[in-house]
Amino acid sequence: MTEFTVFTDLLVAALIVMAWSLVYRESAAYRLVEHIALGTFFGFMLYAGLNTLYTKTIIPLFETWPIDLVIVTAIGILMWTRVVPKVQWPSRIAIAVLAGVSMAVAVTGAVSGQIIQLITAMGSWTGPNLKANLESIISAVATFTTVLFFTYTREHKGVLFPISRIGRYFMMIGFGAIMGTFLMANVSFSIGQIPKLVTGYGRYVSIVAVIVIAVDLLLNKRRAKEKAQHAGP
Amino acid sequence: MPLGLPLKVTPLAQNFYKTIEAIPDGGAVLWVNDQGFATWVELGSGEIALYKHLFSLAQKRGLRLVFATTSSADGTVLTDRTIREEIIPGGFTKGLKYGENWVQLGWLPGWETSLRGLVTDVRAIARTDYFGTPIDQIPMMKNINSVKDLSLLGNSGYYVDEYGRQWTGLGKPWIDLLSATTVAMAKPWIEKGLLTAYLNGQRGCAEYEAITGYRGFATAAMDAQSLAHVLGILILLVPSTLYLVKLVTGRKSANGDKK
Repeated sequence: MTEFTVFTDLLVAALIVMAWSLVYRESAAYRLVEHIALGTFFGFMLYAGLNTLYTKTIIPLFETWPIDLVIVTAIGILMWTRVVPKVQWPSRIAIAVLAGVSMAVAVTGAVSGQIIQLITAMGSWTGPNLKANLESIISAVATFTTVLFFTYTREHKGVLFPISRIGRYFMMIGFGAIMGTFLMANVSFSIGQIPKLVTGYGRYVSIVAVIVIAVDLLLNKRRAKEKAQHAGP
Repeated sequence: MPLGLPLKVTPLAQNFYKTIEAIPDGGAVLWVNDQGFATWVELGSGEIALYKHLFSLAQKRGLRLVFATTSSADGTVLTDRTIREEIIPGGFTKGLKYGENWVQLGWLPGWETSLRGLVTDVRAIARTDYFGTPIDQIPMMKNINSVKDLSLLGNSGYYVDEYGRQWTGLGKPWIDLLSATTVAMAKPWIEKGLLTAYLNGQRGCAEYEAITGYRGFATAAMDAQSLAHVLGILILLVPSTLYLVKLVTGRKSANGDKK
Protein backbone atom coordinates (compact mmCIF):
# COMPACT_ATOMS: atom_id res chain seq x y z
CA MET A 1 0.00 0.00 0.00
CA THR A 2 1.55 3.30 -1.10
CA GLU A 3 1.47 6.56 0.85
CA PHE A 4 -0.93 7.90 -1.73
CA THR A 5 -3.41 5.05 -1.11
CA VAL A 6 -3.22 5.67 2.64
CA PHE A 7 -3.87 9.37 2.07
CA THR A 8 -6.77 8.62 -0.33
CA ASP A 9 -8.36 6.14 2.12
CA LEU A 10 -8.14 8.65 4.95
CA LEU A 11 -9.36 11.57 2.86
CA VAL A 12 -12.35 9.71 1.38
CA ALA A 13 -13.39 8.33 4.78
CA ALA A 14 -13.01 11.76 6.39
CA LEU A 15 -15.15 13.41 3.69
CA ILE A 16 -17.87 10.76 4.06
CA VAL A 17 -17.90 11.13 7.86
CA MET A 18 -18.01 14.92 7.55
CA ALA A 19 -20.95 14.71 5.12
CA TRP A 20 -22.83 12.21 7.24
CA SER A 21 -22.21 14.28 10.38
CA LEU A 22 -25.40 16.14 9.38
CA VAL A 23 -27.32 13.12 10.72
CA TYR A 24 -25.95 14.02 14.18
CA ARG A 25 -26.16 17.79 13.78
CA GLU A 26 -25.11 20.57 11.45
CA SER A 27 -21.49 21.51 12.05
CA ALA A 28 -18.54 23.32 10.51
CA ALA A 29 -17.30 19.93 9.26
CA TYR A 30 -20.51 19.39 7.30
CA ARG A 31 -20.48 22.90 5.87
CA LEU A 32 -16.84 22.48 4.83
CA VAL A 33 -17.51 19.25 2.96
CA GLU A 34 -20.62 20.77 1.40
CA HIS A 35 -18.50 23.59 -0.05
CA ILE A 36 -15.77 21.17 -1.14
CA ALA A 37 -18.34 18.98 -2.93
CA LEU A 38 -19.95 21.92 -4.72
CA GLY A 39 -16.60 23.50 -5.61
CA THR A 40 -15.19 20.23 -6.91
CA PHE A 41 -18.30 19.53 -8.96
CA PHE A 42 -18.34 22.97 -10.55
CA GLY A 43 -14.60 22.75 -11.19
CA PHE A 44 -15.13 19.41 -12.89
CA MET A 45 -18.03 20.73 -14.96
CA LEU A 46 -15.93 23.72 -16.05
CA TYR A 47 -13.14 21.38 -17.15
CA ALA A 48 -15.59 19.03 -18.89
CA GLY A 49 -17.27 21.94 -20.64
CA LEU A 50 -14.01 23.46 -21.87
CA ASN A 51 -12.70 20.05 -22.93
CA THR A 52 -15.89 19.34 -24.89
CA LEU A 53 -15.78 22.80 -26.45
CA TYR A 54 -12.20 22.13 -27.55
CA THR A 55 -12.67 18.59 -28.91
CA LYS A 56 -16.17 18.95 -30.34
CA THR A 57 -16.14 22.52 -31.63
CA ILE A 58 -12.73 24.16 -31.86
CA ILE A 59 -10.84 21.21 -33.43
CA PRO A 60 -13.41 20.55 -36.21
CA LEU A 61 -13.97 24.28 -36.69
CA PHE A 62 -10.32 25.04 -37.42
CA GLU A 63 -9.72 21.85 -39.39
CA THR A 64 -12.58 21.84 -41.90
CA TRP A 65 -14.71 24.96 -41.28
CA PRO A 66 -18.06 23.18 -41.74
CA ILE A 67 -20.69 25.82 -42.45
CA ASP A 68 -23.32 24.36 -40.10
CA LEU A 69 -20.85 24.34 -37.21
CA VAL A 70 -19.82 27.92 -37.99
CA ILE A 71 -23.49 29.03 -37.80
CA VAL A 72 -24.14 27.10 -34.57
CA THR A 73 -20.95 28.47 -32.98
CA ALA A 74 -21.92 32.01 -34.00
CA ILE A 75 -25.34 31.55 -32.37
CA GLY A 76 -23.61 30.15 -29.28
CA ILE A 77 -21.32 33.19 -29.07
CA LEU A 78 -24.41 35.44 -29.15
CA MET A 79 -25.38 33.95 -25.78
CA TRP A 80 -22.38 35.73 -24.23
CA THR A 81 -23.75 39.16 -25.09
CA ARG A 82 -25.78 38.84 -21.87
CA VAL A 83 -22.59 39.73 -20.02
CA VAL A 84 -22.87 43.32 -21.34
CA PRO A 85 -26.34 44.64 -20.37
CA LYS A 86 -26.42 47.35 -23.08
CA VAL A 87 -26.01 44.89 -25.96
CA GLN A 88 -27.63 41.83 -24.51
CA TRP A 89 -30.55 41.63 -26.97
CA PRO A 90 -28.79 39.23 -29.46
CA SER A 91 -28.61 36.63 -26.67
CA ARG A 92 -32.37 36.22 -27.11
CA ILE A 93 -31.72 34.74 -30.57
CA ALA A 94 -29.47 32.08 -29.06
CA ILE A 95 -31.97 31.33 -26.28
CA ALA A 96 -34.85 31.17 -28.79
CA VAL A 97 -32.96 28.70 -31.02
CA LEU A 98 -31.97 26.56 -28.04
CA ALA A 99 -35.46 26.53 -26.54
CA GLY A 100 -37.14 26.02 -29.91
CA VAL A 101 -34.98 23.06 -30.94
CA SER A 102 -35.22 21.43 -27.49
CA MET A 103 -39.00 21.84 -27.39
CA ALA A 104 -39.40 20.51 -30.93
CA VAL A 105 -37.34 17.40 -30.17
CA ALA A 106 -39.04 16.77 -26.82
CA VAL A 107 -42.59 17.38 -28.05
CA THR A 108 -42.14 15.28 -31.20
CA GLY A 109 -40.77 12.46 -29.06
CA ALA A 110 -43.52 12.87 -26.46
CA VAL A 111 -46.35 12.75 -29.00
CA SER A 112 -45.06 9.66 -30.77
CA GLY A 113 -43.39 7.87 -27.85
CA GLN A 114 -45.46 8.71 -24.82
CA ILE A 115 -48.91 9.23 -26.31
CA ILE A 116 -49.43 7.45 -29.64
CA GLN A 117 -47.22 4.43 -29.00
CA LEU A 118 -48.44 3.89 -25.45
CA ILE A 119 -52.08 4.16 -26.52
CA THR A 120 -51.64 1.83 -29.49
CA ALA A 121 -49.72 -0.61 -27.31
CA MET A 122 -52.50 -0.61 -24.73
CA GLY A 123 -54.26 -3.38 -26.62
CA SER A 124 -57.76 -4.74 -26.50
CA TRP A 125 -60.10 -4.77 -23.51
CA THR A 126 -61.87 -7.89 -24.72
CA GLY A 127 -59.03 -10.12 -25.94
CA PRO A 128 -58.39 -13.75 -24.93
CA ASN A 129 -55.84 -12.75 -22.23
CA LEU A 130 -57.91 -11.80 -19.18
CA LYS A 131 -54.94 -10.37 -17.25
CA ALA A 132 -54.02 -8.10 -20.16
CA ASN A 133 -57.66 -6.99 -20.50
CA LEU A 134 -57.82 -6.16 -16.79
CA GLU A 135 -54.53 -4.22 -16.98
CA SER A 136 -55.80 -2.20 -19.94
CA ILE A 137 -59.04 -1.39 -18.15
CA ILE A 138 -57.23 -0.38 -14.94
CA SER A 139 -54.79 1.79 -16.97
CA ALA A 140 -57.67 3.54 -18.70
CA VAL A 141 -59.62 4.08 -15.46
CA ALA A 142 -56.47 5.32 -13.66
CA THR A 143 -55.64 7.77 -16.45
CA PHE A 144 -59.21 9.07 -16.69
CA THR A 145 -59.77 9.51 -12.95
CA THR A 146 -56.32 11.04 -12.35
CA VAL A 147 -56.83 13.59 -15.11
CA LEU A 148 -60.21 14.46 -13.55
CA PHE A 149 -58.50 15.00 -10.17
CA PHE A 150 -56.50 17.79 -11.79
CA THR A 151 -59.58 19.45 -13.24
CA TYR A 152 -59.77 22.76 -11.43
CA THR A 153 -62.32 24.49 -13.62
CA ARG A 154 -65.14 22.74 -11.76
CA GLU A 155 -65.59 22.23 -8.05
CA HIS A 156 -65.18 18.58 -7.01
CA LYS A 157 -68.82 18.09 -6.03
CA GLY A 158 -71.49 15.59 -7.08
CA VAL A 159 -70.29 12.90 -9.53
CA LEU A 160 -66.88 14.54 -9.89
CA PHE A 161 -66.08 14.04 -6.18
CA PRO A 162 -66.01 10.20 -6.04
CA ILE A 163 -64.37 9.93 -9.48
CA SER A 164 -61.55 12.34 -8.63
CA ARG A 165 -61.22 10.55 -5.29
CA ILE A 166 -60.50 7.30 -7.18
CA GLY A 167 -57.85 9.19 -9.17
CA ARG A 168 -56.31 10.32 -5.91
CA TYR A 169 -56.10 6.70 -4.68
CA PHE A 170 -54.40 5.66 -7.94
CA MET A 171 -51.85 8.43 -7.43
CA MET A 172 -51.29 7.34 -3.82
CA ILE A 173 -50.53 3.81 -5.03
CA GLY A 174 -48.21 5.18 -7.72
CA PHE A 175 -46.32 7.52 -5.40
CA GLY A 176 -46.10 4.76 -2.78
CA ALA A 177 -44.41 2.47 -5.30
CA ILE A 178 -42.03 5.27 -6.30
CA MET A 179 -41.19 5.96 -2.64
CA GLY A 180 -40.51 2.27 -2.08
CA THR A 181 -38.03 2.07 -4.94
CA PHE A 182 -36.59 5.44 -3.87
CA LEU A 183 -35.85 3.98 -0.43
CA MET A 184 -34.24 0.96 -2.09
CA ALA A 185 -31.99 3.17 -4.23
CA ASN A 186 -31.00 5.43 -1.35
CA VAL A 187 -30.10 2.42 0.76
CA SER A 188 -27.76 1.41 -2.08
CA PHE A 189 -26.09 4.84 -1.99
CA SER A 190 -25.33 4.43 1.73
CA ILE A 191 -24.26 0.80 1.42
CA GLY A 192 -21.86 1.82 -1.33
CA GLN A 193 -20.03 4.19 1.02
CA ILE A 194 -19.93 2.05 4.17
CA PRO A 195 -17.04 -0.24 3.05
CA LYS A 196 -14.84 2.86 2.87
CA LEU A 197 -15.54 3.49 6.57
CA VAL A 198 -15.05 -0.03 7.89
CA THR A 199 -12.12 -1.29 5.82
CA GLY A 200 -8.56 -0.09 5.22
CA TYR A 201 -7.42 3.10 6.87
CA GLY A 202 -10.97 4.46 6.74
CA ARG A 203 -11.80 2.52 9.91
CA TYR A 204 -9.47 4.76 11.95
CA VAL A 205 -11.40 7.80 10.74
CA SER A 206 -14.63 6.12 11.85
CA ILE A 207 -13.17 5.45 15.32
CA VAL A 208 -12.10 9.10 15.63
CA ALA A 209 -15.59 10.22 14.48
CA VAL A 210 -17.30 8.02 17.09
CA ILE A 211 -15.01 9.39 19.83
CA VAL A 212 -15.66 13.02 18.75
CA ILE A 213 -19.44 12.46 18.78
CA ALA A 214 -19.27 10.72 22.19
CA VAL A 215 -17.23 13.57 23.69
CA ASP A 216 -19.61 16.14 22.18
CA LEU A 217 -22.60 14.29 23.65
CA LEU A 218 -21.00 14.20 27.10
CA LEU A 219 -20.05 17.89 26.94
CA ASN A 220 -23.55 18.83 25.84
CA LYS A 221 -25.03 16.83 28.68
CA ARG A 222 -22.73 18.52 31.20
CA ARG A 223 -23.52 21.97 29.78
CA ALA A 224 -27.24 21.27 30.00
CA LYS A 225 -26.84 20.14 33.61
CA GLU A 226 -24.85 23.25 34.53
CA LYS A 227 -27.42 25.45 32.83
CA ALA A 228 -30.19 23.79 34.79
CA GLN A 229 -28.28 24.30 38.06
CA HIS A 230 -27.66 28.00 37.30
CA ALA A 231 -31.30 28.48 36.43
CA GLY A 232 -32.15 27.38 39.95
CA PRO A 233 -35.30 25.70 41.26
CA MET B 1 -19.11 -12.19 6.98
CA PRO B 2 -21.63 -12.94 4.20
CA LEU B 3 -25.06 -14.13 5.31
CA GLY B 4 -25.51 -16.02 2.06
CA LEU B 5 -29.11 -14.97 1.58
CA PRO B 6 -30.44 -16.45 -1.68
CA LEU B 7 -30.59 -14.20 -4.74
CA LYS B 8 -33.25 -15.17 -7.24
CA VAL B 9 -32.53 -14.12 -10.80
CA THR B 10 -35.69 -12.50 -12.13
CA PRO B 11 -36.95 -12.77 -15.73
CA LEU B 12 -36.16 -9.04 -16.13
CA ALA B 13 -32.43 -9.60 -15.64
CA GLN B 14 -32.57 -12.72 -17.78
CA ASN B 15 -34.22 -10.75 -20.59
CA PHE B 16 -31.55 -8.06 -20.26
CA TYR B 17 -28.85 -10.70 -20.69
CA LYS B 18 -30.67 -12.47 -23.53
CA THR B 19 -31.18 -9.21 -25.43
CA ILE B 20 -27.44 -8.57 -25.39
CA GLU B 21 -26.67 -12.16 -26.34
CA ALA B 22 -29.12 -11.88 -29.25
CA ILE B 23 -27.10 -9.14 -30.97
CA PRO B 24 -26.03 -10.55 -34.35
CA ASP B 25 -22.34 -11.16 -35.04
CA GLY B 26 -20.62 -7.91 -35.95
CA GLY B 27 -23.60 -5.87 -34.75
CA ALA B 28 -23.12 -2.36 -33.37
CA VAL B 29 -24.24 -1.33 -29.88
CA LEU B 30 -24.89 2.25 -28.81
CA TRP B 31 -24.45 2.56 -25.04
CA VAL B 32 -25.24 5.92 -23.46
CA ASN B 33 -23.85 6.18 -19.94
CA ASP B 34 -25.82 9.00 -18.36
CA GLN B 35 -24.97 8.07 -14.80
CA GLY B 36 -23.87 10.67 -12.33
CA PHE B 37 -21.17 10.14 -9.73
CA ALA B 38 -23.95 9.66 -7.14
CA THR B 39 -25.58 6.73 -8.95
CA TRP B 40 -22.25 5.00 -9.50
CA VAL B 41 -22.38 3.43 -6.02
CA GLU B 42 -25.70 1.87 -6.98
CA LEU B 43 -25.17 1.01 -10.65
CA GLY B 44 -21.41 1.13 -11.18
CA SER B 45 -20.91 -2.54 -10.50
CA GLY B 46 -23.58 -3.47 -13.05
CA GLU B 47 -22.07 -1.08 -15.58
CA ILE B 48 -18.66 -2.74 -15.15
CA ALA B 49 -20.21 -6.22 -15.59
CA LEU B 50 -22.04 -4.95 -18.68
CA TYR B 51 -18.85 -3.58 -20.27
CA LYS B 52 -17.09 -6.88 -19.55
CA HIS B 53 -19.97 -8.72 -21.20
CA LEU B 54 -20.02 -6.41 -24.24
CA PHE B 55 -16.23 -6.45 -24.71
CA SER B 56 -16.13 -10.26 -24.39
CA LEU B 57 -18.78 -10.45 -27.12
CA ALA B 58 -16.69 -8.03 -29.19
CA GLN B 59 -13.79 -10.47 -28.81
CA LYS B 60 -15.86 -13.56 -29.64
CA ARG B 61 -18.33 -12.27 -32.24
CA GLY B 62 -16.96 -8.99 -33.48
CA LEU B 63 -19.49 -6.67 -31.84
CA ARG B 64 -18.77 -2.97 -32.35
CA LEU B 65 -19.32 -0.72 -29.35
CA VAL B 66 -20.12 2.98 -29.34
CA PHE B 67 -20.09 4.74 -25.97
CA ALA B 68 -21.50 8.21 -25.40
CA THR B 69 -22.88 10.51 -22.70
CA THR B 70 -25.65 13.03 -23.29
CA SER B 71 -26.82 14.25 -19.88
CA SER B 72 -24.17 15.40 -17.39
CA ALA B 73 -20.45 15.04 -18.16
CA ASP B 74 -20.01 12.52 -15.33
CA GLY B 75 -20.88 9.54 -17.52
CA THR B 76 -17.99 10.19 -19.89
CA VAL B 77 -15.46 10.12 -17.06
CA LEU B 78 -17.05 6.99 -15.58
CA THR B 79 -16.99 5.19 -18.93
CA ASP B 80 -13.38 6.16 -19.57
CA ARG B 81 -12.33 5.11 -16.07
CA THR B 82 -14.13 1.77 -16.36
CA ILE B 83 -12.42 0.98 -19.65
CA ARG B 84 -8.99 2.08 -18.40
CA GLU B 85 -9.17 0.51 -14.94
CA GLU B 86 -11.37 -2.55 -15.42
CA ILE B 87 -11.67 -3.55 -19.05
CA ILE B 88 -8.11 -3.07 -20.36
CA PRO B 89 -6.31 -4.50 -17.27
CA GLY B 90 -8.86 -7.37 -17.17
CA GLY B 91 -7.80 -8.50 -20.65
CA PHE B 92 -11.18 -7.73 -22.22
CA THR B 93 -9.59 -5.68 -25.00
CA LYS B 94 -7.10 -8.38 -26.01
CA GLY B 95 -7.27 -8.65 -29.78
CA LEU B 96 -9.41 -5.52 -29.99
CA LYS B 97 -8.36 -2.07 -31.07
CA TYR B 98 -9.76 1.35 -30.21
CA GLY B 99 -11.42 2.84 -33.28
CA GLU B 100 -11.98 -0.55 -34.89
CA ASN B 101 -13.91 -2.37 -32.17
CA TRP B 102 -14.98 0.36 -29.80
CA VAL B 103 -15.30 4.14 -29.82
CA GLN B 104 -15.86 6.63 -27.03
CA LEU B 105 -17.75 9.63 -28.36
CA GLY B 106 -17.55 11.43 -25.03
CA TRP B 107 -19.98 14.02 -23.72
CA LEU B 108 -22.48 15.27 -26.27
CA PRO B 109 -24.28 18.05 -24.35
CA GLY B 110 -27.98 18.46 -25.04
CA TRP B 111 -29.36 15.26 -23.57
CA GLU B 112 -32.62 14.57 -25.42
CA THR B 113 -31.52 16.51 -28.50
CA SER B 114 -28.29 14.52 -28.54
CA LEU B 115 -30.18 11.26 -28.02
CA ARG B 116 -32.16 12.08 -31.14
CA GLY B 117 -29.02 13.05 -33.03
CA LEU B 118 -27.30 9.78 -32.14
CA VAL B 119 -30.01 7.78 -33.91
CA THR B 120 -30.59 10.12 -36.84
CA ASP B 121 -27.14 11.44 -37.80
CA VAL B 122 -24.20 10.67 -35.53
CA ARG B 123 -21.82 12.89 -37.49
CA ALA B 124 -24.01 15.94 -37.01
CA ILE B 125 -23.55 15.92 -33.25
CA ALA B 126 -20.25 14.08 -32.78
CA ARG B 127 -17.67 15.40 -35.19
CA THR B 128 -14.86 14.09 -33.03
CA ASP B 129 -14.52 11.37 -30.41
CA TYR B 130 -13.70 11.82 -26.72
CA PHE B 131 -10.00 12.26 -27.54
CA GLY B 132 -10.53 14.83 -30.30
CA THR B 133 -10.01 12.49 -33.27
CA PRO B 134 -12.28 13.47 -36.18
CA ILE B 135 -15.01 10.87 -36.51
CA ASP B 136 -14.30 10.41 -40.25
CA GLN B 137 -10.81 9.23 -39.34
CA ILE B 138 -12.16 6.46 -37.09
CA PRO B 139 -12.47 3.24 -39.17
CA MET B 140 -15.35 1.74 -37.15
CA MET B 141 -17.52 4.84 -37.52
CA LYS B 142 -17.40 4.75 -41.34
CA ASN B 143 -20.30 2.31 -41.33
CA ILE B 144 -22.20 3.77 -38.41
CA ASN B 145 -24.32 6.78 -39.29
CA SER B 146 -27.73 6.32 -37.74
CA VAL B 147 -30.05 3.85 -36.02
CA LYS B 148 -30.23 1.65 -39.13
CA ASP B 149 -26.59 0.73 -38.54
CA LEU B 150 -27.15 -0.18 -34.89
CA SER B 151 -28.34 -3.48 -33.43
CA LEU B 152 -29.00 -2.39 -29.86
CA LEU B 153 -29.68 0.86 -28.01
CA GLY B 154 -28.93 1.06 -24.32
CA ASN B 155 -28.54 3.56 -21.52
CA SER B 156 -27.83 3.76 -17.84
CA GLY B 157 -28.82 6.32 -15.22
CA TYR B 158 -31.82 7.86 -13.51
CA TYR B 159 -34.26 8.53 -16.32
CA VAL B 160 -36.43 6.56 -18.73
CA ASP B 161 -38.88 8.86 -20.50
CA GLU B 162 -36.25 10.90 -22.37
CA TYR B 163 -34.80 7.76 -23.94
CA GLY B 164 -38.22 6.24 -24.61
CA ARG B 165 -39.36 9.41 -26.36
CA GLN B 166 -36.40 9.36 -28.76
CA TRP B 167 -35.60 5.68 -29.15
CA THR B 168 -38.91 3.82 -29.36
CA GLY B 169 -40.59 3.08 -32.66
CA LEU B 170 -37.22 2.74 -34.40
CA GLY B 171 -37.42 -1.03 -34.66
CA LYS B 172 -34.39 -1.68 -32.47
CA PRO B 173 -34.27 -3.25 -29.00
CA TRP B 174 -33.73 -0.80 -26.15
CA ILE B 175 -32.35 -1.79 -22.75
CA ASP B 176 -31.87 0.28 -19.60
CA LEU B 177 -29.59 -0.07 -16.58
CA LEU B 178 -31.82 1.86 -14.25
CA SER B 179 -31.58 3.31 -10.76
CA ALA B 180 -34.18 1.75 -8.46
CA THR B 181 -35.38 5.31 -7.79
CA THR B 182 -37.07 5.52 -11.17
CA VAL B 183 -37.98 1.91 -11.90
CA ALA B 184 -41.66 2.78 -11.46
CA MET B 185 -41.30 5.18 -14.42
CA ALA B 186 -40.09 2.30 -16.59
CA LYS B 187 -43.18 0.18 -15.96
CA PRO B 188 -45.41 1.61 -18.72
CA TRP B 189 -42.59 1.28 -21.24
CA ILE B 190 -41.76 -2.32 -20.36
CA GLU B 191 -45.39 -3.42 -19.94
CA LYS B 192 -46.20 -2.22 -23.44
CA GLY B 193 -43.09 -3.80 -24.95
CA LEU B 194 -41.46 -0.52 -25.92
CA LEU B 195 -38.56 -1.07 -23.51
CA THR B 196 -37.06 -4.50 -24.15
CA ALA B 197 -35.46 -5.07 -20.74
CA TYR B 198 -34.05 -3.26 -17.73
CA LEU B 199 -32.01 -3.94 -14.62
CA ASN B 200 -33.64 -2.82 -11.39
CA GLY B 201 -30.98 -0.89 -9.46
CA GLN B 202 -28.31 -2.62 -7.41
CA ARG B 203 -30.46 -5.73 -7.06
CA GLY B 204 -30.72 -6.02 -10.86
CA CYS B 205 -26.97 -5.48 -11.13
CA ALA B 206 -26.36 -8.35 -8.69
CA GLU B 207 -28.66 -10.61 -10.72
CA TYR B 208 -26.85 -9.65 -13.93
CA GLU B 209 -23.50 -10.30 -12.26
CA ALA B 210 -24.77 -13.76 -11.28
CA ILE B 211 -25.83 -14.52 -14.88
CA THR B 212 -22.65 -13.26 -16.52
CA GLY B 213 -20.32 -14.53 -13.79
CA TYR B 214 -18.65 -11.10 -13.54
CA ARG B 215 -19.32 -10.74 -9.84
CA GLY B 216 -18.62 -7.39 -8.23
CA PHE B 217 -19.74 -5.02 -5.52
CA ALA B 218 -23.50 -5.41 -6.24
CA THR B 219 -23.36 -9.09 -5.29
CA ALA B 220 -21.44 -8.25 -2.12
CA ALA B 221 -23.95 -5.53 -1.21
CA MET B 222 -27.01 -7.77 -1.42
CA ASP B 223 -26.86 -9.00 2.21
CA ALA B 224 -26.65 -5.42 3.43
CA GLN B 225 -29.50 -4.46 1.07
CA SER B 226 -31.72 -7.26 2.38
CA LEU B 227 -31.08 -6.31 6.00
CA ALA B 228 -31.65 -2.62 5.26
CA HIS B 229 -34.96 -3.50 3.60
CA VAL B 230 -36.06 -5.49 6.67
CA LEU B 231 -35.21 -2.41 8.74
CA GLY B 232 -37.12 -0.22 6.26
CA ILE B 233 -40.19 -2.45 6.51
CA LEU B 234 -39.99 -2.41 10.33
CA ILE B 235 -39.70 1.40 10.30
CA LEU B 236 -42.88 1.54 8.22
CA LEU B 237 -44.79 -1.19 10.04
CA VAL B 238 -44.05 -0.48 13.72
CA PRO B 239 -45.12 3.21 13.81
CA SER B 240 -48.14 2.47 11.60
CA THR B 241 -49.24 -0.39 13.86
CA LEU B 242 -48.72 1.71 16.99
CA TYR B 243 -50.70 4.54 15.38
CA LEU B 244 -53.56 2.17 14.51
CA VAL B 245 -53.56 0.67 18.03
CA LYS B 246 -53.62 4.16 19.51
CA LEU B 247 -56.44 5.15 17.16
CA VAL B 248 -58.55 2.09 18.02
CA THR B 249 -57.94 2.26 21.80
CA GLY B 250 -58.53 6.02 21.72
CA ARG B 251 -61.90 5.51 20.04
CA LYS B 252 -62.84 2.77 22.48
CA SER B 253 -62.01 4.91 25.50
CA ALA B 254 -63.88 7.84 23.93
CA ASN B 255 -66.94 5.62 23.45
CA GLY B 256 -66.55 4.43 27.08
CA ASP B 257 -66.49 8.04 28.28
CA LYS B 258 -69.68 8.76 26.36
CA LYS B 259 -71.41 5.83 28.02
